[in-house]
Amino acid sequence: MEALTILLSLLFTSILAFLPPLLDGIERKVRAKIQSRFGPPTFLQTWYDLLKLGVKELKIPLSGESAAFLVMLSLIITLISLYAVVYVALTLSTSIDFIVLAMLLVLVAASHSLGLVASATTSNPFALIGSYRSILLTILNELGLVVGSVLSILLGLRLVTNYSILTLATYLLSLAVLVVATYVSSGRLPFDIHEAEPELASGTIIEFSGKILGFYIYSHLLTRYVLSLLVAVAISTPFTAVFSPLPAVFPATLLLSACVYLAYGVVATLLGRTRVDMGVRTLFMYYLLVLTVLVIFTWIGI
Amino acid sequence: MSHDYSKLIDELSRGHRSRAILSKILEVCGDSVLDLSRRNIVIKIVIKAKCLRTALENIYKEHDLYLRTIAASDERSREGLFKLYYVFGIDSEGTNLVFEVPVAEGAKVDTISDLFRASDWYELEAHDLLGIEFNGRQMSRLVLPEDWPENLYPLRKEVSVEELKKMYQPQLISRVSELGVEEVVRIPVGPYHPALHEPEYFELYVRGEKVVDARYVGFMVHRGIEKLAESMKYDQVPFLAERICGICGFVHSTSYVQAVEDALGIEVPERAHFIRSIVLEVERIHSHLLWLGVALHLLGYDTGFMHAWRIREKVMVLAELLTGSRKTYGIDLVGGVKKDIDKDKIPRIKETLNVLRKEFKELVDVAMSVPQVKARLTGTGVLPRGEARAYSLVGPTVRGSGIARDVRKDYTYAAYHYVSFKVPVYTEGDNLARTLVRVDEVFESISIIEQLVDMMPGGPIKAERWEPQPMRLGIGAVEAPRGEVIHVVLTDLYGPYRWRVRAPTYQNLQAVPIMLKGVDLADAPLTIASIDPCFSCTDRAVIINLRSGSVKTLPIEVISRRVRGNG
Repeated sequence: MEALTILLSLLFTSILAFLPPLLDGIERKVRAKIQSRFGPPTFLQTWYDLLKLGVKELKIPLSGESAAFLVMLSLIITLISLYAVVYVALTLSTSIDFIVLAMLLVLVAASHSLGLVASATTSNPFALIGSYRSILLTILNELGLVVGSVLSILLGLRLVTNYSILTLATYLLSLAVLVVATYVSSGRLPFDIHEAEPELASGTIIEFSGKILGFYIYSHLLTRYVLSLLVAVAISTPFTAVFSPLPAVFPATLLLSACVYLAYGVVATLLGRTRVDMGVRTLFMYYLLVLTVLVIFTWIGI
Repeated sequence: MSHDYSKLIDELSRGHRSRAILSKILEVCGDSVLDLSRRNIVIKIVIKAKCLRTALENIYKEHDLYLRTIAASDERSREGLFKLYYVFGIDSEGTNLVFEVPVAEGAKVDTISDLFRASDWYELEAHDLLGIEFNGRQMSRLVLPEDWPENLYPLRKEVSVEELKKMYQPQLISRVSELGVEEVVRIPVGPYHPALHEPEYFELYVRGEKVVDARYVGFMVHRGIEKLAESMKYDQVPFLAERICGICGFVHSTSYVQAVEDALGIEVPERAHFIRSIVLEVERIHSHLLWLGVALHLLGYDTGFMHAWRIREKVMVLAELLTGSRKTYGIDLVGGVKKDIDKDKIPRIKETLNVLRKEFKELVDVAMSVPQVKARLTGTGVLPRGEARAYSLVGPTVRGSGIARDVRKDYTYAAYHYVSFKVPVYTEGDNLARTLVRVDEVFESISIIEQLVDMMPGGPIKAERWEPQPMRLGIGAVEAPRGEVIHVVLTDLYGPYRWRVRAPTYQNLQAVPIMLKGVDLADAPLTIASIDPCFSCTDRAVIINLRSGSVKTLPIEVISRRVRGNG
């Protein structure tokens, strides 16, 4: 069973790896519709863009020789994190493999960090500004990501075996934390400040071009999908105790992950960009409030 | 000058403010005043250079006095000297006070840049272009590039346009010989950032994410428009003037023709005034919508940007209905306009305005409800009222800092005295205040057009005939979307002898470093954009073919097509 699960996880990972650019193409179309314009001519536009970047000449950024290596490493790690979340989704029934979940969170954090380090190695002042902003947000946000994902999955399982209003409330609250944390991690408006202020400081990817830029963007889209899938897994966790992951829950989880991805895209369309100090302050207040409530609920005894 | 000035002052004053100011000037500089005269709203004082500073020291603290422009002119062929025309406005009276200062060649004039901070750039420009020297200040290049030859002053009459065009070519030819190539393309590479639409250079000094100081360097693509006009006929210049700016060109052509009409005393038919006013307001609406879209884009709210420009499209269609063009309308003539507004267009105009009003209100309501938009506009880029007054700022920039300055009210022109409208003023002085001023102005402009369309009189649309006279001074000012545009014209027999253009951004840019101090780096682009800067650029490349000896100028896009092998 274990070998079969691993094989299935690898199979689904290989298939799902092609999904993020397609979802991004759909998101661009939806955004265009909201903004009363046509948008890209096809849902496959992001794929075309990535392929186009892939055939450009390889230009190593000045004094950023390790950038290409770090971007590729970040991409590999993101692919592994996709495998990890697929594995969690397939094996989620009455218990959870905490080691894999922990590994997943470490991999997501590592992927973010490697991307930032890749930008910072170019020594471009704009890239450094963007990286600095991103680090500030990431440090704060990782707390929410860890707490949100662990709690929501744990409580999701407990809901089936030990239902109570308090458990449900805590589950929903932890889900809210996870949704916010994954949204912030996805680097969408209003939290796209690492690549923000295009009029002044072009941010983390200013020195990337051609193939490197292509791989960076693909890695970024893949990370977004991993986070969406994580949310979908957390939402579908209570159902895994009733229905088996395959053929029931897992396909629904995949569909849900696409819905979450697109929902995040719609939300981003309706918002402006925050400033780094405002973003940090807002997140801090939000996590402080919600985590305090979670601690209280835990203390009361769920 | 006679020492009994009271009768003279009574004759020339337009109100108690000009009386008080003239009294002070004559009291301290009576013997240095060579002539005093008044025509319409312009009081002209011809004063010796040695007493100019003394006169201005006595009046610079007047609260309703501001420096509108300074025009330097080479009149050596007529009177054997240069002249500086300092144009001040008395807002409360709608009076122009013009100090005409004769300057002998080689003579120096005392600076007034410590009294009227807005004069800083004008003095540098007069030095760059005409070689006039100023005492008591540091001189540096402003308008011309650092490597411009010494003692070559483009606006002096002995320097022709052809000479200026040829000036850099010998350098290019020698460079081409060095490279050993047959053809070379010289692309002007300036401080061009991918996200900036025009060449501009802001040097921001930051500590962490806070701006502690800022420096602006501009005039990257100075086109020599004022010099070009000196070789053109009167009715050719409006088309050149309209190309000063791609967004607000009509204000420049209107300002120019008004200056000529003022100088020559041309009676413009009422209907032409109404048509000019309508088109000016259409231009204001489109410009403000464009700006609002750009501001929302800078805040990351691209949905707002797209919808603002979608709504603006209706205004562009309206402009085409009225003038035949979406932009660069080409309808201004000295003495009137070229194109009439037919009665059958009126229902369509009103319908467009109704839709515009409704959709714009929805856009503003939604945009202001986005938390990030309001949070980032509020309290950022603050410009205190005192600084706004000291720098003689204009337009929404000054109205956002609590000063109700508007040329349409203070120095009314065209058909504005027939309509009723408010001048929006906000006192906070931040980016939000300047945004809300523009938002309110759009609604006011819609109302103004509706009133004008209802009241439009019949009759001709241009003066039947007019006679040019040499060396008459005329001032034309228009409230552009960005602020006051002011043109000063000295007439000649076939075209302008001297044409001085002052766009509002020239005045307002000088205050940007103040607005930027203490601002977060992330808010710097928005703060710069909040004055709605219009740098008006063009890129040109010069191609020299050594074999044939031909020299061509081509736009960059044509060159890029060539590089791709398409022609």
